[in-house]
Amino acid sequence: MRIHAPEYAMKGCHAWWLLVFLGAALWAPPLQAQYAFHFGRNKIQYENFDWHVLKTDHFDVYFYPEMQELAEMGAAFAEEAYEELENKFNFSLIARTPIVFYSSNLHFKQTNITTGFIPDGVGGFFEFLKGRVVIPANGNLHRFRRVVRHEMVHVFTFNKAVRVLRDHRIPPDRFLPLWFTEGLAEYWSGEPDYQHEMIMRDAIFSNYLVPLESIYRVNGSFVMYKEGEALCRFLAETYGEERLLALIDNSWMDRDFRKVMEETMREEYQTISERWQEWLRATYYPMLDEAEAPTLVAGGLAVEGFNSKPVVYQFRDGRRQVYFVGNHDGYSNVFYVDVDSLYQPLGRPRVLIRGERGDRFEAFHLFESRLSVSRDGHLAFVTKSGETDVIHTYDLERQELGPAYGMNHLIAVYSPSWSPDGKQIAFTSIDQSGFIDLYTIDTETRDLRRLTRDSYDERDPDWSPDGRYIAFSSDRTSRGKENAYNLFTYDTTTGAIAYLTFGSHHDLSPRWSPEGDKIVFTSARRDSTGKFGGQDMYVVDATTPQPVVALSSDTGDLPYTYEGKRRLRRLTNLTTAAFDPYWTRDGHLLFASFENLRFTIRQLQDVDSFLDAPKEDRDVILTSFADEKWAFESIAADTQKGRIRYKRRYGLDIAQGQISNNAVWGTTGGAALAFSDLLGNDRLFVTVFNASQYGGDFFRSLNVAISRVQLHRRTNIGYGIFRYGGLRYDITDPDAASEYPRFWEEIYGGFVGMSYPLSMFRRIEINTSLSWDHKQIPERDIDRQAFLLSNAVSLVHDNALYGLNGPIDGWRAKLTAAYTTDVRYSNVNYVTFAADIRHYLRIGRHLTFASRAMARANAGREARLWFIGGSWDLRGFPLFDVRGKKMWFTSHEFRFPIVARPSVYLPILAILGITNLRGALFFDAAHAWNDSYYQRIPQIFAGETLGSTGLGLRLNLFGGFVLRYDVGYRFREDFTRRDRRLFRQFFFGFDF
Amino acid sequence: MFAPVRIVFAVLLLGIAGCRALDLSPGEVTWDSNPRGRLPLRISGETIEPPLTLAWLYNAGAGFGEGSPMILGEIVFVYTRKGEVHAVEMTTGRRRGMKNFGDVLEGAPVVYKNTLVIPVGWGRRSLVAYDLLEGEVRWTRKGTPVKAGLLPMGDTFVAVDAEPTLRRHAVVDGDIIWELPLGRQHLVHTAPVRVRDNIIVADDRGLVVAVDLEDGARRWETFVGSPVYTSLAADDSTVYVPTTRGRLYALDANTGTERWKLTLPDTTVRFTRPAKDGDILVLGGTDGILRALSPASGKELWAFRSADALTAAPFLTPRTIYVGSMGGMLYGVDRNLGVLRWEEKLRGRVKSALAAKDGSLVVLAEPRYVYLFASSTAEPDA
Repeated sequence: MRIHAPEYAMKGCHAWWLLVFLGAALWAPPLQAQYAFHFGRNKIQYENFDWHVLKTDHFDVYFYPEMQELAEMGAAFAEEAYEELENKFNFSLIARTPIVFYSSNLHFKQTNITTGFIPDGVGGFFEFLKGRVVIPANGNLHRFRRVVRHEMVHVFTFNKAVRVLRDHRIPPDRFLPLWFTEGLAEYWSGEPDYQHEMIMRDAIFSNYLVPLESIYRVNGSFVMYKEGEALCRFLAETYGEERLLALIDNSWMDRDFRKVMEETMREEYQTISERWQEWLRATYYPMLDEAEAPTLVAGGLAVEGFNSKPVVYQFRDGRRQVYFVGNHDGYSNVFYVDVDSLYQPLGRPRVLIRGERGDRFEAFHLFESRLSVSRDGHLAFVTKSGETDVIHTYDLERQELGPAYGMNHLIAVYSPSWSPDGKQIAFTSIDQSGFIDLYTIDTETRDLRRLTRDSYDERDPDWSPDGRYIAFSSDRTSRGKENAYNLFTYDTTTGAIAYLTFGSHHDLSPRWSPEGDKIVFTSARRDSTGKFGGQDMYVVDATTPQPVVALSSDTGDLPYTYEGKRRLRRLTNLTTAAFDPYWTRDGHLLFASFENLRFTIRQLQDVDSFLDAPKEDRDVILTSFADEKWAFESIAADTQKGRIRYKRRYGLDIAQGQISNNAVWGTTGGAALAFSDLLGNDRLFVTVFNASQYGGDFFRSLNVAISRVQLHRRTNIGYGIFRYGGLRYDITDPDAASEYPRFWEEIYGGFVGMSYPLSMFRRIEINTSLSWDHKQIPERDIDRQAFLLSNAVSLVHDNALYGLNGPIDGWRAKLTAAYTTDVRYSNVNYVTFAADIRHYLRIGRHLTFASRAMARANAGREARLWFIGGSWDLRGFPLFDVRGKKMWFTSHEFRFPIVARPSVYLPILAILGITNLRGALFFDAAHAWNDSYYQRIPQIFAGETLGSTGLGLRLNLFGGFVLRYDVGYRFREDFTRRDRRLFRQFFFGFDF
Repeated sequence: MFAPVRIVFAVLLLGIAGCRALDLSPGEVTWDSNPRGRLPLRISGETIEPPLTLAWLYNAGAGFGEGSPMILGEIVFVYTRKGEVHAVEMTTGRRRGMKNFGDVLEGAPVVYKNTLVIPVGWGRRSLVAYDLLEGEVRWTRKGTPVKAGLLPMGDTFVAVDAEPTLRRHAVVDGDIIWELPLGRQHLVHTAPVRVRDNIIVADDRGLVVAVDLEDGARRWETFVGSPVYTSLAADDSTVYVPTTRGRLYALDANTGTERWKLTLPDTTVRFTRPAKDGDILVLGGTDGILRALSPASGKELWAFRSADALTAAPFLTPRTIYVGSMGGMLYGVDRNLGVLRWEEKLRGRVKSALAAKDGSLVVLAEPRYVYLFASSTAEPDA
């Protein structure tokens, strides 16, 4: 969310461009120029966190009291990682490292330490400016511990690399490649997990492994992380673990990391790459002898994009529909696909619930939260809605939304499961403490019942057909400290929790058979080499009377007394993985599978035939283990120097200065400083700039702006003072000469701005400023003073989805009304209305039709001019040269791909990081005027309808910089005259 | 150009040139004062009793390698990772001269008479010999860089380069007396040590090789199984091999057979270069523990725990052991009891071995500082 200064404070100050750019670079809101009409989604501070600090030997741990227990564990994880990494890195950290913990991903998304939006799946981050580590918990202590360790590796890597460069007196302006830093962080975080093995097996079997020499093509992707981890493991096993550290120690040798690798490994870069690929093939190819690809054993229902969590409902009229969560075009939705009695698809998947475009269904947890359908056809699913997750229901028969269940103190909610009578929903949830537990809610009375209360990770509850038991997956097994997950049942009549499976496996996603005598689930298990094999589907018998307790939630460690065994059958032997199996009433299995880097929905017909010929058939012995409660170490806040309340202290983020000289403006220079507190909630911006042309002019041309922005509440507030003075070039001033609008002006004032987010997609902005203004234009004999009060209110909407070159879907708009008046001399008095609406119609996956309509008007005394022109709006006309107090503008673009995929290898361009080359057919039209619609003012192109049409190319460099080249015809005089010659325009910037 | 400007320019040029030169007056360099001539490095026969006081601080402009500074007469020589050798007056801490010899200087040079032979750790040159009195380069050898320190042997020295190849050179002209390739792909990070007529080195896979001093013939080799990244230590009969996997090996210097080994449960601990004096062998570790062992049996005599990792070799004096830490601390530990006697916070990490003379201790610390600490109670070794 951004705070904007009032219109007046932002009016075009072209003589102060340098100042503006300096300020803009530091995100100094008061200095943003008029033409920058800002949209953007809102990062909302729902919570008013009461931050405290826990000081350990090496870290300052920031947490809020609700999550103290978790923070104490996190502090212990950090110290544990420090002790190990100090050895591995042969290095100690001299400065204390700040670690900021959040108790859930939803709280983490509110952090102001980064201004960017944090998507699901981001486990944490380390930022360089203040050396801060920011990590959310997600209910899984093993993952929390691993992420802490991962980020600690980054801290050590960064500090060590900087130290190495400084030792050699080399500026720290070179970076280790991302594959290496992330790969090392993964490798030194712990042994490879089953997801790592899944990705690497798939990359080898599906032949999309990106070789070392072109790994930049997948920079930042999940594949890069896993390949980087595998590379580091290969380097360690082949050349010695110490050589990984030597890569950092030798990073000073060359900017080109390939040469550093060659020097360190004593081998050609190409040879290293080839040996790595051979090593991978030797590791994974033997598995192909027995394993089967999911596409070969199961038919596909939804094979485009990413899909997961299938369920099915059979309508009263006999129709069957399979529902799942998917992301096919950038937005996540609930999809459905009609199927026949054998679960063959009868058409393409269609959207049932459109997600991520509006307030109600803000975001789906695509891979984390299952769906559930009640017997009477109510679909339950979870989305983020505001500050917490909410369970929504949808009546499939009536095709309408039903009640939603949001619980204030439960932050994240996962995997709802209907009770057989449809009166209750079981689910798991993370509360403010950051621990995840099992709950039920009565759908009629909304009574909430907490079934577990501990630090174990409960997942994927499923209610038995008889309504007595809830099966779930959990690390509450005595092997849980080894990161094992087993299946359990919760007896709703007694509260007893009992084992269903046991062992050092990842037993996940249980679903009861229709008869309630078996449970299907997925399990990832280690093979004889210690590596995780494919994640397969298993069926365990659930007919045995439920035994007495395993780990009781209330008492912690009751002895396990049941002796017995359960029959366990393995249904598949997949090369990759199966997820979230669902046992249909007519005896088939639906599941999600991973293959060829896609998650697809598949069906396995006739479960009984697989049970009759299982891949493996054995018993789970439930007698041979000691049932001890386990827990991780923690560092108690109270035994340290005490729990210290967080005090806001500003630290310098960026300082930059600039001096320029040109024939027109002489020597100008300035500096911009940005400060913020450790949590990024409070920001100070100081900008000083001088545009004097001779010594005596110094103080008259001194520009100073100081602003403060506070982001820690839902309503963001910014305020500041400014003094601008000197010669200006301002194309928006109505009194200045049109040809060369240069004059003297001096402004003192202050401003206050507020931004209130109505939701993630909408906000209201209110800005006001008060300033004294003295303007002198000798050529026109103008010497005007004014005491200006300016008020503005704006409504902003933005749910646009971005591609690499700009928006590709959704819409955004901004409506503004403002009033500016001279409260002392009455020299200025005008109103402002502005509307800018942009809509992006997706036509297929890669095509977008974008439309923009804009109208602006300033009316009254000394009303300012608006301006357009140039590559960003009215193409074919000079930048900002079309001006008028009122204007309308429309633009339409058909955007299409030329080189759509990063994998299209262009040897020359690839080095430049080019990832997306697209084209656009465009049509623009605009009309600007002052007092009369048709009054021609040729100097500023006013009084005539102008336009252009043509073809453009857009090229993304390095993922963040778009080059634009447009060719077309210009139209003038109300489109009655077309220029004979084609215009060509080259510029930069994202699509509108 | 106006005459005054020219004069100022010329003076500045001369001043800069003067600062850059590294030459010493005759008589300042005395071979006898070289600690390598009398005692192994990391040992001082003089007591240097805490508390130490900071005598001066010198900015060398860049970081330092593992080796210790070198004290010749009243001059402290330090070599930096920017490729510079600085000569600093021991009494005042003022720069006596400075010269850039190459891209990186990691290992310790050797001095014979007036010739300083410097290993160059990066670039096209491997060795440079410099006449300290004449202030000129006497010879240069091109080839594979030499990162590890040199082993002085009178008018010859032994070097191991990055290939790695072990060579014995003559100081006077750099000619190779013999050479022994040690095998590609495996690197030698350790300076060679001499035990009687054996030269011993170890590589980063854990192969320890002894060669004949005279002709470079292999005498024995032992695979210890853990990578060796820090230099070895030796006495008359035993070579001590520190590794990166929590193992320290004591090998018979004549046969390479294992006499004893220290095994830590934590296999990620990297040991520092040991220092041995009489009946005590001391070494640090990245676990922050300074361990004193019996050289005969490896039995732990005491352990001192610092707050941060130890990567620099400890320095032994008759009563106190000094060691710098990666936390930027300089510790003085009682040699007999292993308890802290004195500590001082420095500006940065200590990664290099220490040196001492006349009751003063020279310490190299990040980011680029040379410290001289003086003891007010220095007295001759009994």
